[in-house]
Amino acid sequence: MSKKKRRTKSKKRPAKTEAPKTTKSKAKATAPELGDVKAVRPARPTSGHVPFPRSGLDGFFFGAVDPVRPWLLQRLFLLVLAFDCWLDLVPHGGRYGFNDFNVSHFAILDALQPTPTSGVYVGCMLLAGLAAFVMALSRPTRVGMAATCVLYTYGWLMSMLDSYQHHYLVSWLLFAMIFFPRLTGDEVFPAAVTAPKRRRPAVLVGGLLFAYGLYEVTLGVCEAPTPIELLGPGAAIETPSWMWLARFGLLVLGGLMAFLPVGEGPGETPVLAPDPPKTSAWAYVLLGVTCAIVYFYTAVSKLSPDWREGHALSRLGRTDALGGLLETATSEGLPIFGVMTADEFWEWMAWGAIAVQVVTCAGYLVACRVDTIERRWLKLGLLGALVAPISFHIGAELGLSLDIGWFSYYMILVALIYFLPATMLRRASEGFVVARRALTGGFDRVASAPLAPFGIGLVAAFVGLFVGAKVDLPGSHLAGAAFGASVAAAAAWATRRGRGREARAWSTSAVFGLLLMWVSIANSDARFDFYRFVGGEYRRHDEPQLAYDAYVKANRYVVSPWCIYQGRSMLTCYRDEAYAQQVAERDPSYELRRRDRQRQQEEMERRLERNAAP
Amino acid sequence: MANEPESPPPDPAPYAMDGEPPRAARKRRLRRFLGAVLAIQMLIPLTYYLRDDPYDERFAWRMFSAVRLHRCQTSAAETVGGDERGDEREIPLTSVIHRAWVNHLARNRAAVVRAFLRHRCEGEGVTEVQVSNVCVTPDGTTLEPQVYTRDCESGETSEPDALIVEAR
Repeated sequence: MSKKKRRTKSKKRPAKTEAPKTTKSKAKATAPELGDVKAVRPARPTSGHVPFPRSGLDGFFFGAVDPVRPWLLQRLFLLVLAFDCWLDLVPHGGRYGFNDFNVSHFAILDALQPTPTSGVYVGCMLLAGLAAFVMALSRPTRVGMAATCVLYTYGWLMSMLDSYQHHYLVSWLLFAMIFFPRLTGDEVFPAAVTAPKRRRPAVLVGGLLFAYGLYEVTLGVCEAPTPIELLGPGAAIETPSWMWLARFGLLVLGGLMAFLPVGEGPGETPVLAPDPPKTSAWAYVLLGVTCAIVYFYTAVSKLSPDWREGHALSRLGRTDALGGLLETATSEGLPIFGVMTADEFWEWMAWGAIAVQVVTCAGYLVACRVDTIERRWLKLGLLGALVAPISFHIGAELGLSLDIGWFSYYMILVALIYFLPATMLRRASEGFVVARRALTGGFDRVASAPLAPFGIGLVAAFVGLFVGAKVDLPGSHLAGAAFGASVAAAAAWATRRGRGREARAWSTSAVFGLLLMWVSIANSDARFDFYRFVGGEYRRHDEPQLAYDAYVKANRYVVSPWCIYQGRSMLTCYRDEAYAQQVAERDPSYELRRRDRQRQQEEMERRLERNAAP
Repeated sequence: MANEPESPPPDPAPYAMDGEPPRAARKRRLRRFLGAVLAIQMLIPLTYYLRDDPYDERFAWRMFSAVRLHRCQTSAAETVGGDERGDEREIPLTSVIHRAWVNHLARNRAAVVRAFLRHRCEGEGVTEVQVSNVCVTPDGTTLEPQVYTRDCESGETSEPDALIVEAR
């Protein structure tokens, strides 16, 4: 009876939030809270709300967190992970199973598993990426997140060939995300639902521009050709820096249109909830503490003499960026520090790196509770502390010669979401929700028939078969088929249990994910790299036939074979030889070289002919 | 009557928002779980500092450490033939295993070295296999060679007493 009363009472509250407000104080009085969100939705049976603990360890782990943080972190992290798996990890698959030699990370795995092959590794990574993509675009499920975590973790666990510590870190972060609150954009942005219609076009266009800019940047980071590069001014520009300017320009323009705070005139409803709902997200706090532990130990590892004295950093820092800084420091001198010797410079830099990691560690511990911090100086201090991880990871990308894949981008993303004020994150992500709602609203209505989710699941199964075959990598056929079949089965199960909306989201995002995977792999050097690595290895092992076969495929899949080099460093590559030649002629230090494996293919062909000759 | 839905679910967001603070019993379980996970996360990297293998930096969060920057020249040889002298021959590493594994041998990754020694011992007539690494630290100091040997018949492996990461 009491439950029923509560439900009836709360049902009246959304009407208040929907009514236009004239003043800020009124808006605050009717601001949606956790209870309001439940009130407009069929709430799961609960027996009243538990207050957020505010002090002690309970307050630290179970206290209030703005839901935009775990929601946004999970979505963006999984999206980056999907592209990372498809474009950065898959090319390394050719190393697996070579000469039947393998050592896994734990001896027990060697006893249990057959020697991992290229097919197993590539299939695992494609599946991990697809699972991550579906989880990013739908309401994540514990099973789906666990599957993503297991597939990704098994990807590196199966062999010491992948001993990158940041892959181990990504596994820990994925593990924590299994237990994140299962949030949807509509729950995180309740006020956006009631925003007046006349505000939507600007937010919608801005959100779309921002989303497209993010797509450009994501694919650009992995050096995949994007529409701007292929169709836009990218085809006629001299260096890729202009392309990046265009990409970030899109982000900024879209961001300004979608996220600029709007003055609330009389009769206008604010786009953002003045007092957004809070959630308890212990797994989000766990993820933050995990990051703090990692930075703590990385600082400890740098206390060895070789690091403290700058020898290690001087070896890592042999890049143009740090070389220039070193030259300035030893000739003209740096502000505050003055002129110093090269040894002093590297020692200062090494201590700076250690200090940055200590600050980042402390920052993460505070940032876990940033939404309940009331002291202004602490909030400002935390914003200042953001400089530490950002400068470290941008510095690592620009100033150090490291082979760490997309690690820096993951850590920059995580740091931004933990350290930035929630209002900023809300403004930066609301456009997505509005744009997504506008894009999918019509589709949802069309696909609202009871069996439609299962039908889309079947489409996903066929698309899986098709894409698996088109990708043409070992293991891709099986991965595509297995993924499609799993989605169809999950959609059928969910449809039968009356969870049609979830089934529709899984199936639709699965189809979208499969197509996007194909497009991004086909337009990047992922397959070229995979087959050229395989060809090179067979060539070293004196296996001309196998090397020839691999080189044929490498040359078939090379996307931009004409590259401009400056000394030993490759600046950029083009599809069109004539255009690449024009660019190369603009600077005497530029040299045009072919990046494909045509020469090697011909060499293998000749060797095969010699071997065949009597 | 009680089972009848009161109203059809509204389309835009038919979920209850997740993330209510846990109740007492669940909170107790979660505290234990969190304690265990964090203890594991603290202890695993700590084991690096307690064990004798400074080259195995996996799971220790030692990204870009000084040990990782050692440059080692690795070579391998095997003895073929049953008589006392045997016939020692160099193993062209990049031709028998993937180049990525050669890098692991060069990093003194003990599990890989042992697996490689075992793998080579399976070759016909091979009586002894040896892997040797000569490493240079980031400050340019050349360390003493670190030699691993396996007697194929007995299966006995001899390894450096303590792996060296700094000049003595």
